[in-house]
Amino acid sequence: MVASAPQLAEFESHPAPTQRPRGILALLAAPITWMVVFYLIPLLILLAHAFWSVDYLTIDRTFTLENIKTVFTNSLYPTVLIRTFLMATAVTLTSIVIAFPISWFLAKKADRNKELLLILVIFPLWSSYLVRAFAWKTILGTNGILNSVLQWSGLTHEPVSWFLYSKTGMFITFCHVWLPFMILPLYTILDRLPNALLEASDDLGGGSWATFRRVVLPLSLPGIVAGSLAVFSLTMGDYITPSLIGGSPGTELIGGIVADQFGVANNWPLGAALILPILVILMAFVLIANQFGALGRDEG
Amino acid sequence: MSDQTLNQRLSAMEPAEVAAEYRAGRLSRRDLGKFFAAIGLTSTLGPALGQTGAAAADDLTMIIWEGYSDEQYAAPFEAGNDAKIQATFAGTGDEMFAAMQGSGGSTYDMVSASSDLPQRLYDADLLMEIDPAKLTNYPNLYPQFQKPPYITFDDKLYGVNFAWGPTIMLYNPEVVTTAPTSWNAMLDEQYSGKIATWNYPLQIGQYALLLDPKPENPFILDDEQLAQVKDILIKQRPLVRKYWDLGGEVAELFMAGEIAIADGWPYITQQIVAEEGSVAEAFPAEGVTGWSDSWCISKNAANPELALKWADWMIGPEGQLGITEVMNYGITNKNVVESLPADRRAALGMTDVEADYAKIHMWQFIPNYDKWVQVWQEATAS
Repeated sequence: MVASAPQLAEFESHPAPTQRPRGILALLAAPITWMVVFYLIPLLILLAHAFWSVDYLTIDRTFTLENIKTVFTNSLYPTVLIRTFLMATAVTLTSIVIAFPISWFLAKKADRNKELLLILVIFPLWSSYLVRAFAWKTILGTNGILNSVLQWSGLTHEPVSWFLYSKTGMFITFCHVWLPFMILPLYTILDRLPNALLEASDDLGGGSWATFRRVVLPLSLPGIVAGSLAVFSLTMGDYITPSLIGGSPGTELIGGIVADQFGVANNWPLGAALILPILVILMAFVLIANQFGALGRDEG
Repeated sequence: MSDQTLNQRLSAMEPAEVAAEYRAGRLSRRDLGKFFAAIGLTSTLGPALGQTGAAAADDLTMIIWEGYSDEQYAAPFEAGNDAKIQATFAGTGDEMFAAMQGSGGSTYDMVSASSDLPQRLYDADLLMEIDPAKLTNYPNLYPQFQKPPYITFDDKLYGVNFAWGPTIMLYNPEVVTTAPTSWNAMLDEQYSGKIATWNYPLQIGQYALLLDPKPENPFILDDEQLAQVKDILIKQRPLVRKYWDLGGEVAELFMAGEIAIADGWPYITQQIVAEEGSVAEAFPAEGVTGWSDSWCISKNAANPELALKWADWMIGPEGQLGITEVMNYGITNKNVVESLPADRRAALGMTDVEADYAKIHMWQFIPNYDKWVQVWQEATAS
């Protein structure tokens, strides 16, 4: 069977309903006020701190670029920023590879148990993030489950210490705790992908690899980008996992450094200045994501 | 009616009956609260009784070091004063300061401030002056704890000193077979990957004890001395298994066999012993740092009278004995110390309180603290 034109059109675009600007404004007034008062203004005040300085307990509001200079010249911050960026990238790519087959199965193969399986995917989100991170401590520890199994099976003779309190442990934990945020957008987009397109590709002689590469992958790109945006930004800002599963030399991520500037050093200006490069990276990502249509389509 | 008989009576009744009793005024809300607590319920009946979830007037909120709200002394205080203690544990004094300053002192009635912290809280105008005449147990404190410099500003009292102790070295005697005598043991390569140290810039003071020449006061360091400590920390870096954040974590690290040597407090020893783990304490020859903790009351406390009562309770016999038993820490009430048997006093490091106290380099306000934070982060996080 060949995909009919209307089917394709429906998948490709979502025509906007006839708009009545005033009605929409009235509808959006409350959420917009909320976002401006409780999100935008506090964020701007916070960022303004980056250009101020701190003198013991008081904030000196004279404009200065000193903090920005510190962020780029003190070797600590670029090192940690690059480490965080690489970690977030690795976690995001791995999440895509793990989440894709799961989402594909959920969307295209699971028929009767679809709802149950979806609940199972979301289920971990019902427990606290802390609990899930802690669970990895018992699995990855020197006398943890993983080491016990490895030694029992004879694969190792001594406990492996680099599973826990290491970047490896953090990587595993991140990939696990953020996985649902990759699966859900991917599932949504794959579920909407008409089977007719797959059958058409098949009819035209495309093997499963060609179908995947030329039909499935391009059409699921918005889902991949949306999921990546979530996983990447969650990793970029996290400081719990570095503290619980990292905590050894060379594992600190930028989230922990920022938290310390606010909570330990009482240096809000430097903390705010450290947020700027993170924001720039995330903004760039959002702009790229927008190009791929991950944030909704705007063609009329 | 005693709590026990009340609870027995209530457990025998149907929920509807309990509700009826409550509406008829034969049961107070407090009675119900106790009952719920006893059966492990938090106000399941609340909605049925038309209760809102609002906090009771007698909530005492505090941000403290882990263990300072232990049941042993908190429960009798709560029962005696019809109060409810709501404690938040902080991992560092800085965290306490940030929490206090962030809310202008309105979130927490009290802080268990170590000797480095009150100066900052006072400078930020967050502390309430304390009238010692209102503390019945105050005259029994050793004179040195009545008006120590770290809680006295402008000749006025801003805290009630109730506990003190050293930051010592803890080790697993099954791995570290000869008792360490120097902080250098925490830089020893044979324990590589088995070392944990507290993730706190103030710990620079502890490692400053290793400097040659040793600074007279390890908390007053110039830039050159700070750079030397940084070198020590960088040397230690590759050997560290974990920079620990909360006291409970150290016990966990020892119990899980992750580490063999760490800095910590007698409280941690207590926790490990309670879980039948293997641990011993060492007092390095270079000396130790330590802390002297006081209850400070927030200037904007919702419940200053109750906070004062708690401070008084904690320097009274029940609170003080509780601190020695639960925390394994030194105390400040002369009468209580003198009531302890000699061996107990020796175990707590309080044979001669004045002399034993003077041996510890107590945490103090650090003028160039921003530099300390910078050095600590650069040495441990990069």
